[in-house]
Parts: sequence; C-alpha cells; structure tokens
Amino acid sequence: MNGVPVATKPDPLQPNRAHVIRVQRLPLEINLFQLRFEDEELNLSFDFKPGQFLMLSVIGVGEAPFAIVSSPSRRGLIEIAVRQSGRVTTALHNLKENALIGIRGPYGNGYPIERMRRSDVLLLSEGPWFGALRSLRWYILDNRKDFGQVTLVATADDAKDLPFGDELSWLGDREDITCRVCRPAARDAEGQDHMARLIAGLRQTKFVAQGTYAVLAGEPAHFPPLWDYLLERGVSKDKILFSLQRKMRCGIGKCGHCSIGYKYTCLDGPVFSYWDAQNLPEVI
Amino acid sequence: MESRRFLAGHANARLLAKDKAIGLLELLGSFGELYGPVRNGGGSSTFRAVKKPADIDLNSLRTLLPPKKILYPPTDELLEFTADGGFRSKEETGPARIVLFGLHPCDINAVLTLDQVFSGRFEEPRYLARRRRTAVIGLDCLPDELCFCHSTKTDFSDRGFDLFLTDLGEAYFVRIGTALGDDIIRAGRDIFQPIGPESIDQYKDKTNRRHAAFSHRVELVDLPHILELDYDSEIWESLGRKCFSCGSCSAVCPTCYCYDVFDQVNLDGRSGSRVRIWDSCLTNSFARVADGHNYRQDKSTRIKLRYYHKQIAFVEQYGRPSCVGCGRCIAACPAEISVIDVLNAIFREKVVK
Repeated sequence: MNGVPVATKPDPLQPNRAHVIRVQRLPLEINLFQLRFEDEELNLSFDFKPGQFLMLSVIGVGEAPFAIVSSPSRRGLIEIAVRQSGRVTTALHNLKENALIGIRGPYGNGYPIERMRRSDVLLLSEGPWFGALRSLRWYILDNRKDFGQVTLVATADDAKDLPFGDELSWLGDREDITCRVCRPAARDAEGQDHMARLIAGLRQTKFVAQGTYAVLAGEPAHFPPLWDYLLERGVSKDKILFSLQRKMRCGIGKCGHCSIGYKYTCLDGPVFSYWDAQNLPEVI
Repeated sequence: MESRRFLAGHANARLLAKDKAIGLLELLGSFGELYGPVRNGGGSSTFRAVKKPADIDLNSLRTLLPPKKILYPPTDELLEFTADGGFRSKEETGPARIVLFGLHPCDINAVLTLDQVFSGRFEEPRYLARRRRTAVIGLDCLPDELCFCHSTKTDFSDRGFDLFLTDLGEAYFVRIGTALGDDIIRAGRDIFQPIGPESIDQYKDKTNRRHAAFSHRVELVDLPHILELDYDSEIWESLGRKCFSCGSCSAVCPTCYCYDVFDQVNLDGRSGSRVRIWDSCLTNSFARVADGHNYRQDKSTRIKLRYYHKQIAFVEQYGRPSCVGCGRCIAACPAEISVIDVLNAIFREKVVK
C-alpha cells in the first residue's frame, strides 16, 4: 500500500450553496443570472480569471458548465448569461430569484492576462458572441493602465439586439478604447460575411501586429478567414486566442467528455491559442 | 549492537509450497474482504468477493472485467442533495479492508494508472479512500494469443503490489513489496520458507519462458508521432464501418475511466443523489451537447479518439500510454476489432485485417 496517493483536499465535486440573486432578460432569449454564494467568505475568496467557467447545479435536475461573464475586477456578484437549450438551462430559466443552487469552480485556464499585460489587445466578436468577451473586456477596462491600445471590432445587425449590446453604445464614448461595429449582410448563416466584415473593420484599424493579442469570439467553424488575415498581418500564433465549448460532466479532467484531440477542454482550455489549435485535431 | 545487514533480494522474497496456497488465501481473508478470480460456467473468470478461498482460480488468465470495478464501481453515489439543504459529498462506503488477489502485472500497472488519474490537482476522494484500504496480491501468468503487455512494457511489476506470487511449478516465489506484505508474511510464518539459490535459478528460468511465450509484438515507441502524422489515415474510416459503438471495449478496459453523471430524485421529490456511471467514448451521445450538436457524430471519429486518447493524450498528460496490453478489449469486441491489428496496421498496412 506504500505509495498510494492520500486524499488531502475536500471533495472537488461538492458544490457550494449559492443563490440566484437577480435575473435579467437579455436579447435573443438569453437570461443574465446574478449569483452569490451563501458563505460571505467564499464570495470574497472566489478568485477567477476572465475566460474561466463554473459548474452550476440546479437541485434535482443536474449540473452544467457556464462561462463567467462578469469580471474578477468587480467582486460580489458572479454573472452568467444563459440561453435555454437543454434540461439544466431550462430548469435554470424557471428558477425564481433567491432560489438555492450549487456552484463549484472556477475551472479552466482562462485568458492569459498576466502574459497579456502591457500588450495591445484586439477584441473581435461575431454577432451574438459579443457577450463572450465581456469578462475580459471589463477586466481590461478596469485595469486599463496595464494594457496597451485596446480595439474592439464587433459585427451586429443592430447593437441593441445583442446581449450586452447596450454596453457597446457607451463604450463608444470612452476615449481609451476604439470601438467599431460592422453590419453584416442579412441572413448570413455561414458567418462568411461576419468574418469578411470583421476583416474589413480590422483593415480600417491601425494596429501593430507584433506583440498584439487578438481575442476572437464566434463560431469556431467561421474563424479560418479571420485567422488567415491575422496571420498575414503578422500576429503571432500564440497570441490569437479563442474559447471553445464542449460537453462537460466534471470540469476537473476526470469524466473524459470534453476532450479535443489530445487535450481536455476543462483543464487545458477552454481558451486555446491558434498555436494549440493547429497542433490539435478536432478543434473545428 | 550487532550491525544489521539488509539483503534486499533474500529479505524481500519467500517460497510458498503449492499445497500451502490455500493457507495463504485463508490468511489473506483475515486481512480484509478477499476478492479474487472465480471461474464462471463458460470457462471465463470474474473478480468477486470470495467466501471460500478454495473458490479462487489460481490459473485464471484474463477476467471478464478488470479489478477497476472494485476500486471504481460501475455506479457510485457522489453527492446527496435536498431541496433546502443543497449538496453534501458522499463518503466512500465499502469494506474496511480489501484484499485484491490474483492481479497480473498488466492489471497492477492499470491500477497505478488509475491512481494517477484520480489523484493530482483534483483528487477523487472516494477512489483514493478505497484504494488506501486495498492490499494488492499479484500473480504471474503465461501469455496467450491476445496478450501484448511486453510491448506496452507492463509485463512486469516493480511496484504497486504488497505481495507478488510467481509460479515456479512446485512452489510460488513470493516477492514482498511493502511493509503490509511483510506483515502478512510474518502472520503466516509457518507456511512460508526462505528462498535458496535454486529458487533464484528457477525464477530466472520462469522469467525467460514467459518472455519467450509472447506471440505478438506491437511497436509503441514512435506511435504518438506516427498517429499525429497519419491523422487522416483511412484506417479509421474502415474501423468506423466495423465498430458497433457498443462500448464493450471501454467497460472491460482496466484503464478506461470516463463517466457520465445524472441526478436521481427520491420519491419525496425533495431529495436525491448525484450518481456517476461508467461511460464510453464510443457511444453516440458521448460528445453531444445541449443544443443537439455532436462533436463526434461519425463512428470513425469516436474510435479514433479512443486510440488517440490512450496512445497520445495519455503520454502528454501522464508520461506513458494508458494501454496495458491485457487483451480484454480484443476478447470483448463483437465486431472482432483487435487493438493489436489496428496498431500494427498503423505502422505497416493501410487496412485492418
């Protein structure tokens, strides 16, 4: 029995008691849930990076992974944006404010904010994925002096139809971030025009490719033309970042469901760089 | 004080005459709940709790399911919950002490692999608790046509056992791996004998006979690189057409650990438990997400993942492939897919026989 590992930590699968504090309706039938742990210590100590996710349990229904859309620079309430798509999300949408839930996490690698310090950042989002960069965006704006030039290019038919689209209008008033909203051709299911508009938007933007981080949010299958453009401009492969979604049952590298090629999304992701992706099968 | 000389070889080995084997099994039963291979009706054998030590099949080669089922049960309660109370972690329940008898080197190496998976940054407390209370008694074997553990370098155990028995014909050569193993030896003082020079010769002879008995060799050293280079090989398409997606290979694999989770509500409607159940990456729903999208819709992509995970992902994460060459997946596959043929085909041919 010598050499058998000893369990020294609490059960990582044990969710902590938390409550839905407020529910806010967003466009596209997405709800914003503001969550809070019951244990005040935990609210103060829950430390996460933009791009990380949590596992949320609806009691009696099940558990599912959700990206955190609030920023660690604004502690207190944890926010997730949820579209009704399966059993857990449907049950979550039916919860009343103050309902008891379970939360564990945070999990995943998150964006490499330490490495990104002092660099210029491009935030590029396709349509409804605008919300996916919210945590990082707020983190950067709240720590604005730590970063170089920040440029946001988003595609949208109409910003007010996007989740968090209202934030776009007053982001445009800030002097420390360049915002560009591009309107794609109507009914572009393939996302080609979204990518073409993003590239057109980038062409009008002055940015120094060397050392710049480009953070992409969108449908990964639509990315290739944008990747090509960024690479052609000279952005390093390890500085082109995007977050991937997979099925997750445990969030801690044990259940196997989230594997992409040789990696587990929950441990090695969900944020991957183009460098990771080109050496990894199954990314898109 | 007399200086003490530690003779690793002689101090850590004993002889056990064959007619004393039942005495050892009875002794092991006093150290905990005894599990070992028991012969089934159809000629197969199964690891199970034994009441009568004589039921243990000392010549069993390959059990249907690996010993992982005892350390990592097919279904397991992880948490309990109530509507008002939230979730509470469930502690492991099971025998106070488990003695696993008759693990061949492949199975011992597989348990060491599971130890790695369930420890580390995120510990699985139920597995580790059960594992800490488990004694492992190894038993050597002669390979059949499905064994390729010498290719996977898991045909020998240098750790992971408390005692290890090698059949020398008239007697077992017993290696003592831990202080617990030594406790067992000391408790059974009268059934063991010291080893002599002839036992060492017999042990060497057995080792040589065992090495010579393997009928297959599978090349694994360059495999991760070859698999990466040949990602689009048509081998996977042809395997996808053969595979039934039944998941038998995962169930019988001693190192497969993937699981699914579901919440089970009690009749009161206000309480229940979160249950884990073995899963397989071969099943259609394995990578399907809530909105219906399936990241591995095609069977060929699923069977490919199985090989890539065992042969590349595992090397990256834990430093060695997870396949231990036990041959169970070959024996269990209703489509007659053989991992030996697949791995050899990747190197030599384009199609799988």
